[in-house]
Amino acid sequence: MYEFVNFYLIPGLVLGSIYALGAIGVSMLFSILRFAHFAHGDMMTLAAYLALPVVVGLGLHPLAGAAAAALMTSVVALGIDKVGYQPVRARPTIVSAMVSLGIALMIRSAIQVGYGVKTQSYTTGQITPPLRFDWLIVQERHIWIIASSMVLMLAVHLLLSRTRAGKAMRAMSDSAELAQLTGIPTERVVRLTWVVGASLAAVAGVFAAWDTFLQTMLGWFLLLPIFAATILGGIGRPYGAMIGGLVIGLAEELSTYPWLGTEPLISPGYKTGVAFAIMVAILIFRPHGLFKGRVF
Amino acid sequence: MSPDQLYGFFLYGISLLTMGGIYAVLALGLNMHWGLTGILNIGIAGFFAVGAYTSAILASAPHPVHLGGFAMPAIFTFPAAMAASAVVAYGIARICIRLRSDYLAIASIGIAEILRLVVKNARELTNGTLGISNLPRPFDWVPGAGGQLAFLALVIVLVLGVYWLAERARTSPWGRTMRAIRDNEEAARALGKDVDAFRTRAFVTGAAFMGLAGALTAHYLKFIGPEATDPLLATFLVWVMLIVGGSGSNKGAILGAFLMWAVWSVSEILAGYLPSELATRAAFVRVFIIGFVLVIVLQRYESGILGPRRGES
Amino acid sequence: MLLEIEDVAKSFGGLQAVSGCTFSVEKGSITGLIGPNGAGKTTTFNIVAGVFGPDSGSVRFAGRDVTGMPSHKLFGMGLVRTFQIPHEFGHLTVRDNLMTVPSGQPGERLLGAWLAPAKTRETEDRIRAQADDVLEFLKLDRVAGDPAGTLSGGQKKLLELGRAMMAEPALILLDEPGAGVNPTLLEHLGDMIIELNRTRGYSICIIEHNMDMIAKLCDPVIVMAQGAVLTQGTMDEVRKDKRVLDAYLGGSR
Repeated sequence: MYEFVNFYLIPGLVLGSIYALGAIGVSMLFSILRFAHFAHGDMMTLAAYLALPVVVGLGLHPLAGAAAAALMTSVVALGIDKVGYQPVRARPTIVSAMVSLGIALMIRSAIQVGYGVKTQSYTTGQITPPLRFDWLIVQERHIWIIASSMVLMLAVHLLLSRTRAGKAMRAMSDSAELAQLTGIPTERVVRLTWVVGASLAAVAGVFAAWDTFLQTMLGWFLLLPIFAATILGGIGRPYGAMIGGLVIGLAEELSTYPWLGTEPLISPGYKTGVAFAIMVAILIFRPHGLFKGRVF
Repeated sequence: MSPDQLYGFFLYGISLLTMGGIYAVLALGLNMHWGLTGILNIGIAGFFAVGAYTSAILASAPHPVHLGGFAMPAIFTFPAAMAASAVVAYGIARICIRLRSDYLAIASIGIAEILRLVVKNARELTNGTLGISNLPRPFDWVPGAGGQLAFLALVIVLVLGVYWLAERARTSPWGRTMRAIRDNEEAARALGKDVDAFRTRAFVTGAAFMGLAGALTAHYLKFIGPEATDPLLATFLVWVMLIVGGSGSNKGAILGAFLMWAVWSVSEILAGYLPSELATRAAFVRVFIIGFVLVIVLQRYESGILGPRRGES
Repeated sequence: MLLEIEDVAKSFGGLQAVSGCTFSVEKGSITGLIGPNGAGKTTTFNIVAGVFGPDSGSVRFAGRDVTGMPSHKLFGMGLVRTFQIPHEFGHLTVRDNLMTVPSGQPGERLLGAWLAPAKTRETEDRIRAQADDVLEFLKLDRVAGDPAGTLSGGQKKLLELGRAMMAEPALILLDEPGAGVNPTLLEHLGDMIIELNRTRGYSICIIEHNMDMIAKLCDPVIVMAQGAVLTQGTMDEVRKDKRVLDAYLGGSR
């Protein structure tokens, strides 16, 4: 029992939180801009590196690093939108999806030029002992990651349900033309979506790097499970994305638990395949995602 | 210039054209998917890998770890590679072909990554990260540079063959219906066209071409390992080739492939002259340029070099 | 009866578009389908044409239950529909728009295109001749080589009809062929529809808002309101029915 909770359940929740934060952004971008944002993973990598001088250089807490990275990544995302996506906004949205592929390559290689490909870490050498509550062993950073993800998801919920901006976003996700006719400033909603999506991605990227280490392919490896989470939740539905992220994260970690006998159920080498298998099953049986109903 | 240097240039030219030709086959396959059908396939590497490993396993000598020992000649293994990729593509199409293009793109990337996981992990099949080596190259028995020249000739013949198939398909009544489907899917359905079946055929055919390119690469390099299926080289570079050459045009696909491969390869050599510290960075700069070219061409030069202009079919 | 629609219902997210709609189209007739906007006419067409299935009820065509059958199979049985807003293949030429239609062309199969060029060419010649006949009938022969996207609205309507003709169908469902067409062309269009019915024996079911056109072409006329059939009969009978007037007034309120 303690093994299950300590080594499978908690890491699953941590991973799930990271996926969920990424998936919310992908889902919102899809519902507002109508394209699959393939640069989301590399935006997360960028954020993780942007936080590096704050965490290692200034010696601040990784949460402070995450906040700083969210700010910087938002600015970068707005800049990319202006030079990258705005020029093709009027064309079929699939062109934007392809542009995002090019941008993903550019972000990643820029990081590789700037920082090199050597892995780096926020924690310089020292190993922090885990907290113990009777048989429950948990890393302090895991508590931080799970708790702050919950807070951020609540914030997204409040933004969408309680604010004018959130209502404008919902209106635009229903119908961009209608939103424009009713006087909603669509370009401003687009910018807001980028800020929210990029901030969440930035925090997720910093968390992922905090939990493991920094490397330039960090985000690319996160991208596929994040898409799986997005599709699981119903593409374009932030709430679904939250649950989808948690489900995918848990499924990946729990799939290696020795459910039958003593061997891992699935060889760890195929762990990332679990996310994909779920995605394919959803595409076959429930192409609109697990949860029916309104899009937002 | 010494005769040795000249000979070196000669050999380099052959390898440039050979790899360019293999990429042309990939780009022609992608043009089937994207240019003709509008399928955003970001999993080219997956079909490439299926073809490469199928041919490698069938052609390789017995090995203690991985499946092999059939030692079949290329005339069997190349069609087998195409068939294997086609079968995989058919399975994927059954699930995904009715999805809207974004979903399909995500699915394709996922499937390719899964196949790469299999390549890395299924040691009894692929020898894992060590890869399958000592693959026979057709015409290797010809002495001197003759073997490489003969292999280049084979590649060129195959490029022409694939071009003929693709061009024939495009200009046939089949291609007309494909273009009709792209113009207005609902009307095509109302006029009795089984849209999913048409798309599936295009998808399967394009994938078979990609499988052939995989097999050619494996036998040309006499080795296939997981690195060869890296999405950068096996997927994104192909996309840039097609977009630059002009998606929708088979000639454009071929031109884009040779052109971009030359740029890619020559820039690698030039980067080699840099001091070692800069050389590693230059490698990433090249990747940056690939991304940059993709974005700029998509934004500014929609039809590439030879693609149909807006309003043309 | 060629087409029998029995108690068909369809709703979209709480909105009941069609509820308990029952009517039939007799072989050889030109049946009109009228009613105020939102009466469920186009939804009924979409159900019959297999764009989507009904929530309940059944559709029978040529004696077979075809409820929920996909469009391409219905087309194979001789049922073809046109669209209210022209759905031309904009990048294809007008002639290619027509030549795309016949199903089972040998060159439409990839293997046929690659391996049977002679057979493909033969069929192409035949289909081209057929297309040119249709273009001549519709007086579209002058624009045969133009991309269909460049046609005028009225010409696109004719092209819709032409594609239906290429199928040599048993039943054509025409969705507002007269909408957005100038009076001269409308007259011409009406004559052509009658001629297709008389000389080629196509049964036709028309949704139309132009009552003069309906009066000229259709017998019987079916009136739909609020998703169901209100009444049916000849145009004169329907005109005298007070409920019909009420439905139209109610619909516009």
